[in-house]
Amino acid sequence: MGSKQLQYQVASMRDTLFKQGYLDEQFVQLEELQDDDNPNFVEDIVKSFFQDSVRSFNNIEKAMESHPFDFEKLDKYMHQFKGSSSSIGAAKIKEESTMFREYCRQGSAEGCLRTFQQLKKEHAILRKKLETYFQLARQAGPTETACRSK
Amino acid sequence: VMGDAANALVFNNRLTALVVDDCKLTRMVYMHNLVNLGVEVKEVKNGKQAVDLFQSGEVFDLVLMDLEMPIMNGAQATKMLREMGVGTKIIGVTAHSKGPEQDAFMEAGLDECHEKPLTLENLINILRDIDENL
Repeated sequence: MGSKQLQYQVASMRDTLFKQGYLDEQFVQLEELQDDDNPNFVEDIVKSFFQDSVRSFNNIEKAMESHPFDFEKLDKYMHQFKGSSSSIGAAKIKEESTMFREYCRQGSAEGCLRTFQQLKKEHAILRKKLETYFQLARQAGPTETACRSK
Repeated sequence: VMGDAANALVFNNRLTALVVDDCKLTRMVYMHNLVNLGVEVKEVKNGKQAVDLFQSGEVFDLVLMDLEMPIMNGAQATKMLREMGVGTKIIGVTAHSKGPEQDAFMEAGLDECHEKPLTLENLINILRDIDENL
């Protein structure tokens, strides 16, 4: 596939990620930080997020093994995770994190369990999509800074 | 690539900033933003570390303070810094939208409070304001 076609595909993929609500404005802010000195800044931050997520999920799952739930502890873990997801513009994940925290406040174990499952699902989906996106972006090579289509 | 407004505003290490946040990714983004803007920056993971830095004699033109942190949260740290006589501009950045949590944070002694994430535009405005009043 020619370079121009690849670049078009990358731009289209990126656009879809925003249109489908996976990413928000914060991702654009990250892209604006990327330059020749830090050409992989966004990918590095995103990779860091997914690596750290594993630890966050382990903490939450371990906390969910004890009954009744320690909602304060769960809320604390999710607060940290929400902060990270917000930093990369992971909109759907941030939304699920907010709902989880709300269920913690309500003391709803069922709500927490259900939301956590959905959160892990959204996390896996976004991870796959972004891995594909960055892989394609690397193949396409550097472009001018993409602007979010209006 | 940073926008024209940002490119026009490089502070050439005239300003110093302290980033106080327990989230590593948030700190990475702020640090990157600030370094790109030519601001000398340090980072710490909680309010106590921030207070310790000031107690050791360090000074900063700007503090970006998260609210919810372990050991010492942003409100506690801000209150303590003000009681120490620290006049540095302290900007609270919290996941809470406008409401009682932000109000309580402001009452601790913040100059401003923003909802996360702090945008580059807001950061530039804050730094410009500090620079003009140096």
